[in-house]
Amino acid sequence: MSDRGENLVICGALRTPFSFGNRLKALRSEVLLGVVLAELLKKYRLDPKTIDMIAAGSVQQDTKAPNVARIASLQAGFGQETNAYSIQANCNSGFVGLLTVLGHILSGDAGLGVAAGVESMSNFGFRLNDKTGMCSGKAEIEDKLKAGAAGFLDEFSVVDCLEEGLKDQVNDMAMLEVAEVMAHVYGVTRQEADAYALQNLARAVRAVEGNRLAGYLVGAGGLAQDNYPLNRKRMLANPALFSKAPPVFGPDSEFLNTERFAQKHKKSLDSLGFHGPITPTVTMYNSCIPGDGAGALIVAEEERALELGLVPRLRVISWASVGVNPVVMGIGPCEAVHAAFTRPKTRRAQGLEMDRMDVIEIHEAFASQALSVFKESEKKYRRAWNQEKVNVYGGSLAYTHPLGATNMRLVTDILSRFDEDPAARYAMACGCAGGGQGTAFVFERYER
Amino acid sequence: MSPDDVVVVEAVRSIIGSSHGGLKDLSAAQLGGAVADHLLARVEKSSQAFSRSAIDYFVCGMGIGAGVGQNLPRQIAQQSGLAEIATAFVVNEMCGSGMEAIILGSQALKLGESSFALVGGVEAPDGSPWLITRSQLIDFKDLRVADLPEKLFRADVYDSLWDKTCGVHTIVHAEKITAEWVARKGLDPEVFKRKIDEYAKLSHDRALAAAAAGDFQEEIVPVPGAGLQDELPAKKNLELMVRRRGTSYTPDGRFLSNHNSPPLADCASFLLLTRRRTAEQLGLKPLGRIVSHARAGTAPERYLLASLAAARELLQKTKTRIEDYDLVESNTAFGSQMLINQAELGLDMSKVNIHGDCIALGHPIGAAGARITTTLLHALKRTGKKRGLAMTCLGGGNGIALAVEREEKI
Repeated sequence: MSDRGENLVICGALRTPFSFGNRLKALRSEVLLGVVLAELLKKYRLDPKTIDMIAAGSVQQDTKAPNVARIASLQAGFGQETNAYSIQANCNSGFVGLLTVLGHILSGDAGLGVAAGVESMSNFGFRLNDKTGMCSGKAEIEDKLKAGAAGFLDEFSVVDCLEEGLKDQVNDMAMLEVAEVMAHVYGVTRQEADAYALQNLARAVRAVEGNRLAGYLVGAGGLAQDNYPLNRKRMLANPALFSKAPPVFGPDSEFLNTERFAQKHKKSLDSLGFHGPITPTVTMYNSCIPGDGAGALIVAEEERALELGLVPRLRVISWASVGVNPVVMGIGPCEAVHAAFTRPKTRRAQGLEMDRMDVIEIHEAFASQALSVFKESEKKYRRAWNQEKVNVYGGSLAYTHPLGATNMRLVTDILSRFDEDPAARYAMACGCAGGGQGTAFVFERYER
Repeated sequence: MSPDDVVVVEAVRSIIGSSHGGLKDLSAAQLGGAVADHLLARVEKSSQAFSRSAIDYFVCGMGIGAGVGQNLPRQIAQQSGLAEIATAFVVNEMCGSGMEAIILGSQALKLGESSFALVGGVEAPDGSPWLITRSQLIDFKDLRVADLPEKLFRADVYDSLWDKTCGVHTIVHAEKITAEWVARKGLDPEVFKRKIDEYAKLSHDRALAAAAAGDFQEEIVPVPGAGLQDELPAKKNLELMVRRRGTSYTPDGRFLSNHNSPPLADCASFLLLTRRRTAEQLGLKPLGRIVSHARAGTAPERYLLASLAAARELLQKTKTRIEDYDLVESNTAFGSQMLINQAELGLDMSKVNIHGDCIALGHPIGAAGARITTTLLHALKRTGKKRGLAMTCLGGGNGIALAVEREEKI
């Protein structure tokens, strides 16, 4: 624990509205991120020369924008001398980017940096894998095509990157399957999941309509606010839509053939005491959907921020990154939060516990996943998640989930909540990631 | 020497595979998994007290991301028995990714965020796919095979060689910067062009000599289906390289050709880092220590000069002179870069890229930074030298330099 660690602050944050499909589709990831970074410079009157580092989380590192952090930052007017790299750690990419920027500050490598996140899932494409060897030219492909479509598809396999992006290669499971396994292992019922998703939507609609998030939004693609909660507002009047939604895994799905599923994942499932059969819990209404969006935070060492005339908003007082069993990857926040409180990174975080948190933000991959975290945390560590404090503005279930950008939304939400509730002092943000990782941060309102 | 110094316990790499060569059937995760497994087995063999379960931080550099799948280091971790590693992520900083991974790992160790960090990079362009953007095709059901030639584009080109910020191939920039520099120095372009080709030949000669003498033996670990020799150097006719001009990539290209540019290649390279105190406790004998690093940035179109800028920054930061370094590894984006760096930094070529560079060996984008650092550390050990400098430029205009020191004894 170094003294420098006591002086980590966040001086500002912005994000685009989140959406999926037509509204933001025209803005590829480097454009989305560029919009946020350009406004960040403008709104907070940053001198680009003072920015030492930019780290951007992005899960599908867009082929048309390799190292998206560098491309977007140059387009947004950041300096050529500023180093920029892109991080991929699945849905924790944004947080891991923040961790590396904190690291640069702690090690004296940087005084002021930007942590960002972006994803344009409407632009996740398709790819063809050449089974016979790569790098053949287009002419060769054309020749093969002339030989006939059937033969062509023998040589190439086609992958939908959106589907692939939501799959964990580590244990060969789709995230939807993980959500079902978690519901079963941690005892989440369909009713609980639906009720949670409904409440989440109601909270999001209230926040968007009440203009609660506007302070940290920058419009993009003609979109001024998050449109997904509003598009689904009418569902609030008819909660049966949630309970009547068909499960993602119907009776014919291979997944529900638990024997085959259990055989495929025997080793990892045995350790969890997972035995079928299971009753499906996951529907498209209690899962988050893909999204498009970007966000960014100004991260600094306190003295440097003050010297530059920036106004610190949050202190970063503890954090943790942990690994968990990939088959129940969504349980990551339960362990990460535990580590962040029991192994505090700064003196300010010593003795703090969950009950002191005024604002709690958790990324919900699925209602079943979030509820599993609440239940397991209570059972294993006696740590209660006060639902009056958790995702008060709604969460990923309501806003969509642009993989690399969601972590940034958790922080802008905290800032919005702090603006709304001047008495709030402590906040926590946490998220899970495919492959089995959890990350958590503890923040304190900045006061000199 | 401080007990908190970050030391490199061991560093290894796979062979550098040519396009469609011995590594073509391995995915990035399989290639990385095999190399990481060998690295960890070697360390476990050298000290009973070390177990790979002690690794809690894994940063993997990667350039061509298309088709690699979720979080590459997690996939590699599973393949190499690292089960539930706490922190694992990909860093993409183009050709500097592998070196940035080393810096991030060192940083985590210095801050006490990690006790053993596995760092490096993987590139497997042979497995890189062709792509179709979703805006051109909403559902695969709608795909008409006849439309494919028009809609497809190559991931390896876009992910690694294309400068998005300017919308051109990086070689276009390289030609321009070279011409500009040659004009500024008042050099004869023809003579300079010949010098580039001569350097490319030197690089091949050195790479072949190193392979023949077994100089890479310590650093290369076997991977399934491939031999133990780097595949590329032997494939070129060296005499022809200098006698003929080679094929330019650009219509008016005067300097750069297929002879003096690095081919894209497959490779994985990893280093195991820890603090000196931990190494001593476990009886590990590190190869060297990470002394310092520096970063720099230029305009994207001037990226060819970025490693030079980073090296200058490092010399200033560490208050050293270029003569203080016994060996230098300078990643060569294109042949002319080496000559520019040589002139600008005053490099003694007998100390630089003594085993050849990526023009001869091949350029595995995301693994390159780790590969040259690995080669540098082993070369220091073999030659009994002490101080090493590794430097690289990155597409997009940044540059990184890293100073290492061989451990005298422990």
